Amino acid sequence: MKFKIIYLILILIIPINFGFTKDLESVNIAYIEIENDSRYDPDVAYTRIQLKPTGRPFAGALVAYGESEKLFDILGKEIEISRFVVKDNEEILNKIKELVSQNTHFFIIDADSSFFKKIPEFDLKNIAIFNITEPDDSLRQENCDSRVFHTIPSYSMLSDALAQYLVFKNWKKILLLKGPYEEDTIIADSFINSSNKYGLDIIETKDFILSNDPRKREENNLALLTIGKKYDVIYLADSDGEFGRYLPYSTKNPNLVIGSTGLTAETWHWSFERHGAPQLNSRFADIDDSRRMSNFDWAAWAAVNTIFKSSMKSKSVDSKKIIDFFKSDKFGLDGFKGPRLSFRLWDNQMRQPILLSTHNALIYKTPIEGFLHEKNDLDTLGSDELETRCSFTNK
Amino acid sequence: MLNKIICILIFITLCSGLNAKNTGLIFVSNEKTHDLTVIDSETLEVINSIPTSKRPRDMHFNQDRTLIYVACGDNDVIDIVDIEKQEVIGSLDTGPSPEAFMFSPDYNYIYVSNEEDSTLGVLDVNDNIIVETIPTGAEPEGVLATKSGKIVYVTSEVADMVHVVDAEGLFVTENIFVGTRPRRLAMTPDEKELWVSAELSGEMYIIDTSTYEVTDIINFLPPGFRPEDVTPVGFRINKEGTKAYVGLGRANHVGIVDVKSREVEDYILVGSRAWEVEFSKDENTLYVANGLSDDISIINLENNEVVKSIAVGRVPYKVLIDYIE
Repeated sequence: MKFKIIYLILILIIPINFGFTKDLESVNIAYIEIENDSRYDPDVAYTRIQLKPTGRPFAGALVAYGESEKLFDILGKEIEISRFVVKDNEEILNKIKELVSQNTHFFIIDADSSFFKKIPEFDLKNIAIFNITEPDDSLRQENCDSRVFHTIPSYSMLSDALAQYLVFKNWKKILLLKGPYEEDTIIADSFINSSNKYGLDIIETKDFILSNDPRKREENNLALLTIGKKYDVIYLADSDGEFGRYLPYSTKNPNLVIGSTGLTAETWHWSFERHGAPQLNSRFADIDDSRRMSNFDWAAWAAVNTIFKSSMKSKSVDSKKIIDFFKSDKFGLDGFKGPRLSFRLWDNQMRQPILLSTHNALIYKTPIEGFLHEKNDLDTLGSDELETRCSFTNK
Repeated sequence: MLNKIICILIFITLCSGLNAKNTGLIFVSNEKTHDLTVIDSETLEVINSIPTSKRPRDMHFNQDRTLIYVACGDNDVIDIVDIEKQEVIGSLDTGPSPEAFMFSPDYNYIYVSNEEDSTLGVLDVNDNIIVETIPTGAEPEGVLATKSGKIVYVTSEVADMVHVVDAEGLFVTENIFVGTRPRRLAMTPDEKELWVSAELSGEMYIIDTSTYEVTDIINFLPPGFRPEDVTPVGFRINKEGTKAYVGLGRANHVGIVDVKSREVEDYILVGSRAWEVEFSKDENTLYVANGLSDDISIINLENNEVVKSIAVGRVPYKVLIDYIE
């Protein structure tokens, strides 16, 4: 009888917590990705070559975790990154709501535009959601949200970088080749905007299709697609990649190809040799040596470091203080690309150099010297303060 | 009896002949050509290049200045170069990717930062064994031992910290937060101040060694450059403790600081990506390694003018001078 009473008392005083609420002295990050995300399907071409070799960028997040672990140990605080794999965009939203009630305020989301467009619908405050893979400019313009931060560059930053290079080299006449997918039109439109911004001359735009049908040869034959008016360079908008990989050396004239193949605009490159980049690539290899550190890995790494370093420097685990810190001018992330990186307050895009690269070398790091900006030369890439169509309604 | 005295005198003469080479030669480590460029300090001509293991970076003389120890990052060794023979005669094993190092005051140990392992390694020089590895924040770099040998300071580039290591117990006693990407360390001659260059925040941090508090931060801005271009790395404080000379990295200048007032007195234009600087024995000349123009600049400190630039190997890291005593 005595024993049973004691058990009853114990049950009443020990709080039973099914939700595993996180320790209040810790900084918690939730990393959420979608199972069977079509963006990660290895495209098996006829010859079984992977066209878009990239693993899940969680590896990049782990590299940043490893860098911060010791520091937080010293500070006597906890840090945690939890990885969740869900079925679709709806489940991501539900997961976020669930985790916020358990003291998680930072979310790194590997999803496309369709997810981020849903965010303005919900009401949670004092959270920060990081976009690490979607370059869609509309998320930085009309579909922006004050709680969403972008560490991956936007399409406009990438096309501006290539446009700067064309101006620098004085290769100003461009043939634009555009594929049939919606993303190809987005990529092409971004380049058209950059071309207007930098005074380039797109002498012709041609639509191509992936096909061997001789009846459609004007649209699929590489020689036919590349004859016509004289141009210096071909800009290729080909999100799929199967067409583009055969384009260099097949053109009618000996012209260089840039854009989706040839010289490409990257967030990160495995062969980058300056600014300590080899050390970051080496730490990535310690986590995953089956592949090289990709653009998405770097964006995940930058997002995690933004959160942990802001916590460290603001000496706080409070989410509002951390977010205020990385929005302030005291924040400057060493992105291993040279300058300290920070967020543009008009659209929450992380300003950063873009690396113009081939398959095995960095050809030029942009912004190119000589392209000046009143406040920060990094803002010559992408959408600037005066022209932004983003207005944060829920601050 | 006389014979004995003569023998002793000959012995002493021979012994002194084994002392410092006093060659007056200048050695420059070149990261990408994997060699040391050798320059005659009188004629300022390149006279030789000594092949080393891959990616030679930091260099220090041994106690009697007959040998140069060179950390070779890509082969995980410290090469030992005989100054007279001008060739590598041996090497010590280190942890992964040794970058900077320093001898203990008795020259029995080397403290080396293993960049890719996040550790400070302690090597026994005589037995060529790694005595201890002390965990640090990611990417340790600058290493400095105090004159007593009791404390070793090491920076962690990624953790934005300076670790204070007890050299006897071989553990970290203190961690000091500084600016972004701290690279190198130097102390004032009285050891009351520890100076740390923070490459990415473009600042020099000054730490009081009795309290380990940051007491001052110096900013630099050479003409024609923006703050984000200023990336200080290597620097030296003169023997009197009156002036500091700071390589400002991509701002392509050397900044001259009055130690007492913390004022930046002057900027001298040198080559591309000025990192390490080194004094001549009389401190009237400063040698600057320009990593991205593949040359060194030689500055006359009496009038703060660049006397000459000498082309060396690819991506020079540090200049070491075997000055004549």
